[in-house]
Amino acid sequence: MSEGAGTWCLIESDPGVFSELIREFGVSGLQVEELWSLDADQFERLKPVHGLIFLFKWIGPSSAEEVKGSVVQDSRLEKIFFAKQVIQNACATQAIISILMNCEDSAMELGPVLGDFKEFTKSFDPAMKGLALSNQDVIRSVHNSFSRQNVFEFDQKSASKDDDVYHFVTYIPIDGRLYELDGLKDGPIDHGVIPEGRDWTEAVRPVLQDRINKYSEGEIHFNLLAVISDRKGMYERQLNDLEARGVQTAEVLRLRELIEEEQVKRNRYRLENVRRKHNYLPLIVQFLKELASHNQLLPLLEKAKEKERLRAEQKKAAKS
Amino acid sequence: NLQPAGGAAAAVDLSASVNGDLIRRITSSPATVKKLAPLLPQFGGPEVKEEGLVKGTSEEGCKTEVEETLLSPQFQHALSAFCAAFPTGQLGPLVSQFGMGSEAVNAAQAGNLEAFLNAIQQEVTTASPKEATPAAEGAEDMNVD
Repeated sequence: MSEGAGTWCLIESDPGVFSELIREFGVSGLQVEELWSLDADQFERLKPVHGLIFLFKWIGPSSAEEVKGSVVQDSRLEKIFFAKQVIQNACATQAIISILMNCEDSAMELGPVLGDFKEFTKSFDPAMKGLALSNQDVIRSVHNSFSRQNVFEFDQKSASKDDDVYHFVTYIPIDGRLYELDGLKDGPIDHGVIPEGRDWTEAVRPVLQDRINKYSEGEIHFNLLAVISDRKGMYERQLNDLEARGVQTAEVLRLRELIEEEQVKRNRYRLENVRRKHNYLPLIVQFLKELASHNQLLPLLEKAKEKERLRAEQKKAAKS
Repeated sequence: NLQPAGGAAAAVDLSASVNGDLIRRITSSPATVKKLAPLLPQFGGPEVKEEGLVKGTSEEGCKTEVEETLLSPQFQHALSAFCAAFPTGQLGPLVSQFGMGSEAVNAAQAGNLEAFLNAIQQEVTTASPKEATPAAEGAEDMNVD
């Protein structure tokens, strides 16, 4: 942990959060989708996929964590953007930045904030890149604006009941090879050549499957997010193209429907993010008062106390 | 008295017991909905409204929005964080901005959630006859008093 880097809050691993996060970084042309399984058709429907973010509960370096693939230590480091993670809670942002900085898709625009940052850190080593990232004010404040609980800025350590640590790692294709970018490792991990003529996601699926299999015995939470091209923009370009040629087919209708779907999704994301960022303190206070005026407050307290008692007893029983 | 001898109580999470039943019990009162509605997250943008995500300003729409917000994971999470933060006493200064009586403010400063909730109940009960009767109009079983 670095003192000067300020506070970074935990944020949720959610496609809506990440999609708006990158938009607020000033990046255009990309969006984030969640994958529910490693099935081929899941990847097929999202193509082209520019990078994957894999989230899991971090159980510390163990035998299960032995490194597959080799750590890159040669001149490729000059090209690959890799930052060491210096701030724990920043790992969600770190993972997405790793994709954005290495993405070469022509439809993506990095925007001034990340564009300047990329230029500025070009010659830095991974530790310096990580430090620069944690000190970048715009990136930090956008990241923190997605924290759900910035109302209650109290000492988290004294009250946190959940010590689980989640970690995000990035998988991305660079120059025909598959890399894993994990800020807790010493460098990018090279998972080898992507077979000629095959989509890179075919190469990443077994790597992820392998990783999940290793954890499957413990109860580990996984989450997989894909950074893909902005769908709405893509459909709109296709539609414009068809309309310019005066084509009136089922394809036109299908595209209109897809655009509509994307818009609905964006609205839902916005709604959820407004909910996430809202200051709930006035509502909580009024809610408690309203419960009181309906004589529901103290019964609720008793119920909550009872639950807590049961939890404590179970904990005790589990220990003895 | 209900107050524990040792001052600050163990962390109790109210959100775990907030459910649809409880919420509907209070939103059945239009006066309650009216007081909660302005404190909800405000959704801007005409597109959002068009999609039917915002239920509009009708009484029924407000009620639905209040219910949906109070049951949303985001509110539940905030309530849970509120309860977790309470024993630190750091919510005291924040809570004092909401026109609470001295007993509630003192309990918040001391980080005693149980004493705080008891103080709220006390305040509401003493102040309620005038204020709560219109809400209870036509609904005798609402236990307002």
